[in-house]
Amino acid sequence: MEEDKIKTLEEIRQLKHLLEAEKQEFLSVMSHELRTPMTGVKGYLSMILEGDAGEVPEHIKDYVAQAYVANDRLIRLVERMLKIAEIQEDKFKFKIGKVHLAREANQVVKDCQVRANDKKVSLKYVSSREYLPAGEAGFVKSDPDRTREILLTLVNNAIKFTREGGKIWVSHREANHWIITDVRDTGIGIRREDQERLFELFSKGNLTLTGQERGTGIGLYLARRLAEAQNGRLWLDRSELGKGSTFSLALPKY
Amino acid sequence: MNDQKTILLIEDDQILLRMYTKKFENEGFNVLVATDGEEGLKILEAASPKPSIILADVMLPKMNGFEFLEKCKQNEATKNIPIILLTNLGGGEQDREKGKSLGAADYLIKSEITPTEIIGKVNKIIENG
Repeated sequence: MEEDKIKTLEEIRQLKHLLEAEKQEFLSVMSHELRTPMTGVKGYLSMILEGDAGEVPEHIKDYVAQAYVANDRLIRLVERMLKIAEIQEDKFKFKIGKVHLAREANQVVKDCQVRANDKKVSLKYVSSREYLPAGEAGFVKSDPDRTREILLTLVNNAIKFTREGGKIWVSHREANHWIITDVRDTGIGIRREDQERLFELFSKGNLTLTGQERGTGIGLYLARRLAEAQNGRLWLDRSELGKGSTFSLALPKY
Repeated sequence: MNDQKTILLIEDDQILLRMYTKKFENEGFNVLVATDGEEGLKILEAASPKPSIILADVMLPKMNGFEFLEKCKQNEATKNIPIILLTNLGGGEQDREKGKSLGAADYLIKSEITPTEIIGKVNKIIENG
């Protein structure tokens, strides 16, 4: 009986390994198969816009430009879904090192400035003396690319959910072994009943928002998984409907 | 003297191969094409003069882009031709490092870059010699 149990456990273990290997193979092939046709669409649309097929009438140019943007959104969605699958399988590779958090945050703010300006939203990086981008303090232990990705998600969300004339601030504070980055906005805020599901996959929050404002429900889930995989934390610090929200990212000090 | 630049494109997806061929021809390149690594090597061997640069997909039938790159680097006649690897695989940083360690001039994700941006990278590599 005992021998039978051991044999069954061993068979289950082998089957599990086989399934994991097949899942990884499936992910790799699907990522290639999904991306390839989208690459074709992206490429041809960009060539049309750039005049490779001849002069494009103005009234058609906008249609093509919108198709290009929609396809790019699809590409990003596929990228995120594949990344989530890799993280869930612990297959995602992180390069943990010494990262100057203030420098990364300041750069993210600069990168998002055009988008904020287009929406007429004020976006500022507020650095205290300790966390000046060129300063010596403020090093954390993290993967710089993933940290930048998390901050981009938070700042882009803040821009998305803040209406014209609103404000967004990015700042830092310390708490024990952590350096915390706060992204605060004066945006539309989040309903209490939506706050609990905010970091769940495909949680779209307030259904009274427009499709554009609602988003895909992937960004925060992915951002939190990336933070936790680097021994960090990501949470909604505060939010009030109609007044705004603050999201906080804590990363361990170096 | 013919100043026209020649590029060898190795891509098995017909839509993408046609797209890149069209773009490079529009930019004044002479374009040689292959749909797998083995065919790419044959065309390369026969080409005279040799292409200024090679753009090779990673996921190719018969001989993949990494294998093609290795073979080129082992051949005196082709080892100095810059090779850009293109991919839509999910291998990420690991594959990028593998490409670089084998001597790839660059490693690009196809879905993240337009044909015009690829032309920019190609021209820059050719200019830098």
